[in-house]
Amino acid sequence: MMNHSDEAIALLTSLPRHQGLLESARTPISRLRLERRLQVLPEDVQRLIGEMEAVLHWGALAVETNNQRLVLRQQHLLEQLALPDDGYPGSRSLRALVAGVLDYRTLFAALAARENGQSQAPVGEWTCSRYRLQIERNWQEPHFHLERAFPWLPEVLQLMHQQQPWLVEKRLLQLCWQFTGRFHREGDYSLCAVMLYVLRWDMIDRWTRYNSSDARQRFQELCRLGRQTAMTSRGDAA
Amino acid sequence: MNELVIALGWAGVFAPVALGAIGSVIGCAIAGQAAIGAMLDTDSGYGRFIGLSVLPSSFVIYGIVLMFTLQQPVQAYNAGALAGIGILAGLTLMFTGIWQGRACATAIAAAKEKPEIFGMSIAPAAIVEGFGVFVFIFALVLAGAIPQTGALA
Repeated sequence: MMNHSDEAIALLTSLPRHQGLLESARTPISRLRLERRLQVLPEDVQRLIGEMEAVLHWGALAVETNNQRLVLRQQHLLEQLALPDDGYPGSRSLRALVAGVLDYRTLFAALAARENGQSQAPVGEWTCSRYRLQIERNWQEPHFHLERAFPWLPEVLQLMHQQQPWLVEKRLLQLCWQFTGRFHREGDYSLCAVMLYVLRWDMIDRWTRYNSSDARQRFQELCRLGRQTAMTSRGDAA
Repeated sequence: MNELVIALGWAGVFAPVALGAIGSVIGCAIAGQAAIGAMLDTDSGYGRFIGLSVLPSSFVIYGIVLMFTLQQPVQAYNAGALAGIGILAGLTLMFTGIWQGRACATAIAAAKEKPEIFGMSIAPAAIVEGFGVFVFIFALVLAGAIPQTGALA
């Protein structure tokens, strides 16, 4: 199978380094230039990156009207990254990266849905996170019995109680930034490093274009979608 | 058996240059790609990037010198020594070239972001070079101890 690290070397050294998430006043490179640089990668890799962005991008949930479709996309992406002979160096790390970010997002979405008055856990395949069953079983528990694995859950829940969507989203971005930082290795020129760069670019982009009124609107939208999904899932299950 | 030992002896004579060339090729390719990428993102310092990217080419030169040092009629009495010195030295030169290329690529990526650390960023690559030089020098020293005739052996 083809080794993509050759393209990744020139690509990654051509990209400016990310500053810290909160320190960045703007993205280190424009979207147009980033996309132009990514064109050196083979088409299948570009497609994979696009798929990852579609699944993990911060705007993805806001525009996704059908959660089932999003779950299918998540499953498809994880299956692609789980293939033993997919030719992508470090795909095990890639899968761990994507799965980890999905876990964070799922926990935030579940907390938000419950805070918005959803009294019962969603039914059916509402996420690909490995914590789905535990969240469903412990829906009534404040932190789903996951506070040991995710010590930040009480803090985030408190922010939600205080109706601070801006701080909630800031915390989510910070946590995801820290999590993805674990996958960053100096001198790593693999596809995983490229995807990590793009993912972190998306986070900086989200942060630098942030504004609190948008955050409130998006938070309400997320809650509305959570309710809608739960109702749809229950209807399907019935 | 003798034929196999003699074949190994010839492999030992040519291994330093062949394996050293492989190391240099891969090392220079890795560092060269990094240099090209860095040039896309900067407006100056191109010469430094290119200069750094050719650093792993030294290993093929060491290999050539070793090959000429080891070059002699291969017989059963010296084939084992030629194979041992040549193949092990060649393998070391190959891996040193590859890893030096990676060290150079990282140095280029770092110097691109922070030009003032260019000198310091070369240090890891220089240390890797040092290990290659150790092997080269001691292979030369040992090559001088290879018996020249069967009688001496």
